[in-house]
Amino acid sequence: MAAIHLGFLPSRVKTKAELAQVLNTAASIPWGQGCTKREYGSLIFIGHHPQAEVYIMPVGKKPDLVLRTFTEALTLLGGDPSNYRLINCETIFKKRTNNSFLASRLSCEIYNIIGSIVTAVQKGLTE
Amino acid sequence: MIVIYHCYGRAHSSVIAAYLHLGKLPMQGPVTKEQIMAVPEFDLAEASDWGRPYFMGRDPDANEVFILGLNSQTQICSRLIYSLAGQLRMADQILLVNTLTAIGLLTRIGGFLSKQIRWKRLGKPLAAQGIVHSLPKLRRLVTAVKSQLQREEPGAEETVDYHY
Repeated sequence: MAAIHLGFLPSRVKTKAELAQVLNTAASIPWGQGCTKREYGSLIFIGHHPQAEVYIMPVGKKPDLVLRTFTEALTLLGGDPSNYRLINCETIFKKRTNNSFLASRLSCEIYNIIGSIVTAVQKGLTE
Repeated sequence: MIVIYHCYGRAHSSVIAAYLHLGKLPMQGPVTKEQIMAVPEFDLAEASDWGRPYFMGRDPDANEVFILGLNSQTQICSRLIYSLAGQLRMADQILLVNTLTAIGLLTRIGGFLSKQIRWKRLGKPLAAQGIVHSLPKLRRLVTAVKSQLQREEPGAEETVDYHY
């Protein structure tokens, strides 16, 4: 999502071949192959976008607790919650990949849904 | 400075460490199981409180003392808080102290019975008894924290990083 947000990857793909190429590119982007456990909980700066700084944050197995800690700590440390947009990248992904057959059939669709979420986030930042 | 004593459920060791830090329990001499059980926040927090820092008070040096339950996500959440503090340029204004390192099996069993099995009549006194046994370690931990806070006061000559 961060890579799409920053324009490293397109927000839409049309064919499986195009998707394979995009995934190949994604693997060569820093953190494109995932984070190690030592990075769980870290805010990792990925890049600047005209409207925002883009970070990723691996949350581990209990995302609800980690995200609650994030929002509570943010307030405690005097940060302004309105300056932060937390986008849960797993919500759609988990629902869509519970069935591996469905996931393999809808890979392009999943990618495009992720792309559309990023587009909506970008749009929300400009409003 | 913000000091956060954190443990598994924010119900036992972190509460007592905060009480010791704030002088509400003595740093020397005996403390009874009944005194521990009389602490209002002892054995109180529930799972819905995890991840939410709870303000316990200000110490004489105006440091704000909080307690926090992080369940099994201690490492991830600690990293997150420090990471966020760094992003907000507040990293030198926060100190996380893991109180689980100072307690023994008795408190863990008591906490489990009280919070997981809901057997408070047995779990709470057992946890309190465990805290009494662990008090020397908890006091040493709080003493170390206070020493570090004094070293990090503005004007202090050097700072030493401790990892709890």
